[in-house]
Amino acid sequence: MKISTLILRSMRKNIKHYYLYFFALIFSAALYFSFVTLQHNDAIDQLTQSSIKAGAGFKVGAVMLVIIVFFFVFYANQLFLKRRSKEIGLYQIVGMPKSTISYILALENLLLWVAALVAGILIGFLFSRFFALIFLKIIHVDGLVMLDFSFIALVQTLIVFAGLFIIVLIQTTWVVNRSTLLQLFHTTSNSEQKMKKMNPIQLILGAVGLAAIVYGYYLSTTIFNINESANENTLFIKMGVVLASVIIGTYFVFRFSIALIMNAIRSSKNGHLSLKDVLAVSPIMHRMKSNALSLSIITVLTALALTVLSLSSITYYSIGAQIEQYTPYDMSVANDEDSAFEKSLQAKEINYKTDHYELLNVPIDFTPVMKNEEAKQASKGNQYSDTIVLKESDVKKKLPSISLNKNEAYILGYNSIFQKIMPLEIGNQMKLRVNNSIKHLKLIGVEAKNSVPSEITYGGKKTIVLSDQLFNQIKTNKQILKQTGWRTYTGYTITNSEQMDKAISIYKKSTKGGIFTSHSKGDFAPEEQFSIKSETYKHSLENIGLLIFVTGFLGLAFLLATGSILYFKQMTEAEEERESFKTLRKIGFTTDEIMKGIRRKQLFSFGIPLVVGVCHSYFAVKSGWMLFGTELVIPLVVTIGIYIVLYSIFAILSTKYYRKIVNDSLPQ
Amino acid sequence: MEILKGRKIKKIYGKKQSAQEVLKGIDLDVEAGEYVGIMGPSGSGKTTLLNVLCSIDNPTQGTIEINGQMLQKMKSKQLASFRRTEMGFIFQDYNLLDTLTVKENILLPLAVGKTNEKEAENRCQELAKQLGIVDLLKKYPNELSGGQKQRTAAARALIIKPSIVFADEPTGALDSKAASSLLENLASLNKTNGATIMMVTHDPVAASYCSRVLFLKDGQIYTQLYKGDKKRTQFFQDIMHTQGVLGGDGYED
Ligand SMILES: Nc1ncnc2c1ncn2[C@@H]1O[C@H](COP(=O)(O)OP(=O)(O)O)[C@@H](O)[C@H]1O
Ligand SMILES: [Mg+2]
Repeated sequence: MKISTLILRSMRKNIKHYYLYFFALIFSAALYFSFVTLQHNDAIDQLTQSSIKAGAGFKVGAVMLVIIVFFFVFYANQLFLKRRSKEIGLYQIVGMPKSTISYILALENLLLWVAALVAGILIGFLFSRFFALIFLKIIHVDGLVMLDFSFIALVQTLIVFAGLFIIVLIQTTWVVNRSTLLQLFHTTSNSEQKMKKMNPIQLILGAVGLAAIVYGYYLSTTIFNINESANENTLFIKMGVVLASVIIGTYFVFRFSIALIMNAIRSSKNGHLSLKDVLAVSPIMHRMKSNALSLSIITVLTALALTVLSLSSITYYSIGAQIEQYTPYDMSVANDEDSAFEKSLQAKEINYKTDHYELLNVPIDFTPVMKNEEAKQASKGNQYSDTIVLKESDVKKKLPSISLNKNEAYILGYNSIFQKIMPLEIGNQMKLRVNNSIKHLKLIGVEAKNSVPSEITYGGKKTIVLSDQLFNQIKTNKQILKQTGWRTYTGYTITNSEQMDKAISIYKKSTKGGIFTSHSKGDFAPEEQFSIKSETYKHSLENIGLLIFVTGFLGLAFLLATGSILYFKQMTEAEEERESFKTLRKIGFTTDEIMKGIRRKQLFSFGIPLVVGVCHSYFAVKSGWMLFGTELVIPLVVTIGIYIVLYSIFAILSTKYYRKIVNDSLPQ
Repeated sequence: MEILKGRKIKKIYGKKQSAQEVLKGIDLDVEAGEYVGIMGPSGSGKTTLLNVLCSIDNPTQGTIEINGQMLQKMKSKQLASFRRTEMGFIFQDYNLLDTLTVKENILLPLAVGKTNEKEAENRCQELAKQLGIVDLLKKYPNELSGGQKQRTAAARALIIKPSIVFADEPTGALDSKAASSLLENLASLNKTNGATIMMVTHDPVAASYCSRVLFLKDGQIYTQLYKGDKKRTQFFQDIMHTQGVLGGDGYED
C-alpha cells in the first residue's frame, strides 16, 4: 500500500479524533490573526490620539497570545497523540519503522495545519471587525473602522504558526520514538494509578497542601502592611513566598488532599457505593495522579487570568472616580487670574458655575494620628510637613457632609492606597504650628475625595479642612501667608455639557493653556499647568481602554484555552468510560440515573479548578487592588460573573457529550 | 407459567450489501423456574439471541414478552428498572468496572434506591465465600485473572436474587472446581428460589446442569433436549451425542 493512501485512509477512519485537534488549531489561528490584524491597523492607531500609541500595548498582547496559543496547541497535540496511541501501535505491529510513522504523522499534521490556518485566518479576519468595534466602544469613540486584509498580519501569523508547527513535529517525533509497543496500547489506562491505601506520607502532604494555600492567603493580606514589609525587598520576598506557597499548595491539593478526602468518603462506604459515587468519585480518584498536574496548571492559569482581568476592570471602572479625585472641576483658575476667562464665557453665553476657595499652606505634624509605629518612626526628625489648608464653608460647596467645630479637622484626598498602607486614627490630635505656637487639632474624619485639584496639592498630597473661625485666625499670620503659593482657587463647572468644547477653547486661549503662576519661591517651579477634566478623562479612557481591551482579549484566550482543554479531557474520559456506561445500562441503570453521576463529575472537574482559581484571584486582587483603582466589589463581581458564565458553557458542552455517549452505548 | 415468550425473532447486522442475518426467526418459550442451556457452534448467534431476549439489544423483527409484557412496547426506563431488579447478567467478557474494587463491583446493582446495607453485606460475603473470592474483595479488576473476573461477575449477577439470570459462557474462563461451584450456585438458585436461568455454553458438562438444552445452528433452533428424570451423567451423554450429530465444527471458542 502506498503511504499516501494509508494516510488518507487512517485520517478518514480517525476523523473524530481530528475534529478536536482541528478545532483547536482553527481557533488558535483565528484568535491570533484577528489580534495582529488589529495591531497592524493604522485606522485604530489614528482613532486614538493618546500619547502611548496603541501599537505598544498590542505588541505586548501579541507576544502573550503566542505563549497561550503555544501551550494550547502543545497540549492539544499531546492529547491527540494519546488518543491515537493504538493506531500508532498498530503501524508498529505491521512492521513499519518508527521513522516512517513519524513521517506519516508529519504529513498528516501538515495537511491539518494548512487547512486549519486557511480556515482560521478567514474566521479571524471576520472577527477582527467585531473586535475593533468592541475596542472603539470601550474607549468611547464613535466611528467606523475599515479593516483591510493586512498582509503584514498574514505574514506574522504564518511565521508564528510555522514555528509552532516545527515544535509540534518535534513533540510528535519524540513521542513516537520514545514509545514502546506495550505503552502505546496501554496509554489509556497505564498513567492511571491503582488505588492503594493512603500511606502516611500522602496524608501529611495532603494536609501540607491545604496549609500552604491558607498560609499564602494569610500572607497576601499582610503584604502591604507597612510595619512588616518596611522596604521593597521584603515586599518582593513576601510576594514570592505567597506565589510559591499557593502554587505548590494547589498542586498538593489536587495530587493528595482531594484524593485523601475522596478516599475517606469511599472507605467509609465499605463497598456500598451509590451510583453517583461510582460515576464521580471512583473515576476521579482513578485519574487523580495523572490529572493533578494539568488541573493545577489550569487552576493557576484561571487564577492568573481572573486576577489580571479583575485588576484591569477595576482600573477601567475607577477612571471616573480617580479623575474626580485629582481633577474635581471642569476647569481651574488659581490665584484669581481669571478676569479674561470669565468675561469671554459670559460674552459667548456659556452657562457655568464657580466654587471659590481660599487656601493656606501650614506646617502640620501628622504623627499622632498615624496608626503604625513604623510610619511614625519614618517621619521622625521632620515631623511637620507643609500642608494645604481649606476652609469649611468653601469645602461644603463640594462636600456638603463636612461639619466642624473649632479645633477639629478633616483630612481630604487620602485615597485607599494611603488608607491601606498608612491608616489614620480618627479621634487623635494633630499638631499645627503657627510661628512657634502649636495648636492641637482633633481629626474627626478622612475622605478619599478632594475639592481642589492635584496641581494645588502638589500631586495629590492630603489636604486639611479647618473651621472658618480657626482658618481666618491663621490667615492673619504674615509668615503663613508668605509661604502660601496658591492663595485662592476657583473651580469651574460648565452646566451645559454641549458647550464644553467651546468653553475649553476659550479657557485655553485666555489662560495660555491653563498655566498659572504660584507665589511660592521655594523648591517648586512657580508655573503650573492645570488639567482640563474632560481632556484628562478622554486621555485616560484611551490608555486604560487599550489596557482593558488587550487584557480582555488575552483573558478570553485564556478562558477558551483552559475551557477547551478541560472539555477535551472530559471528551477523552467519556470515551474511555464508554464501556462502563454500557455495562451500567445493561445491568439496568437508566441514562438519567447515570447522568446524575456524570453531572456531579462535571461539577467537580470544572468546578474545582474554577472555585480554587476564583479563591486565589480573590485574595490576589484583594491584596493589591487599591493600587489600581477605587472600586473593588462591582468590577470584581462583574468580571468573575462573566468568566463563570462563559466557562460554564464548556461544562454544559461536556455534559452533552457524555449524554450522547451514554445514550448511544445501548441500542434502545 | 411462561416467563419468557419469543416469536419470530430475527436479527440482521449490517446494511444492505453486507447484511448478515444472524437470527432467522426463532420461536422460544421459557417456563418460570426452567434452567435453559443454549449451545451451538461459535458464531452461531448465541450471544446475540441472549442479548435480544434480555432486552439489551433490539431484534430486527419479532416480539419478546417477559412476564406477559411485550418488551417492544415498554419504555426504556421500565425496561431498565426491570433489568436492574429482576434480571442477573453474567457476560462473556465480564463487563466489570475498572475503577471499582471487586466488592464495589459486586454491589453495583444495588447502587440506586434503598437497600438494606447489612443484608447486602451478608449476601455479598456469602456469595464471595461460595465463589472463592473472599480474599479478592479489595482488589481491582486489572489485578485479577480471567476466572476471578468471571466469578466476580457472577457474584454481581446474583447479588439481587434475580428471578431470571442470563449467563453467557459463565464457566468459559474457570477451572473445573470453580466452574462446578458456580454451576452448583446457579442450580441452587434455580431450585430453592425458583429463579429462571438461561445459560449460553459450549461445555457439555455445564449444559448437563440444565433442565433443557437448545441447539442453535445457522440462526435457527436445530433441536432441543429435555433432561426430564434422567441423571446428570445420562443427560451429559445425550448432549455429547447431539453435539456429535450437529457436527463438531468450531465448538471451542
Ligand atoms: N454488533 C455486531 N455487529 C455486526 N455483527 C455482529 C455483531 N455482533 C455479532 N455479530 C456477528 O453475528 C454473528 C453471531 O455472533 P455471536 O452472537 O456473538 O455468536 P456466538 O455468541 O454464538 O459465538 C457473528 O458472525 C458475529 O460476527
Ligand atoms: Mg458469544
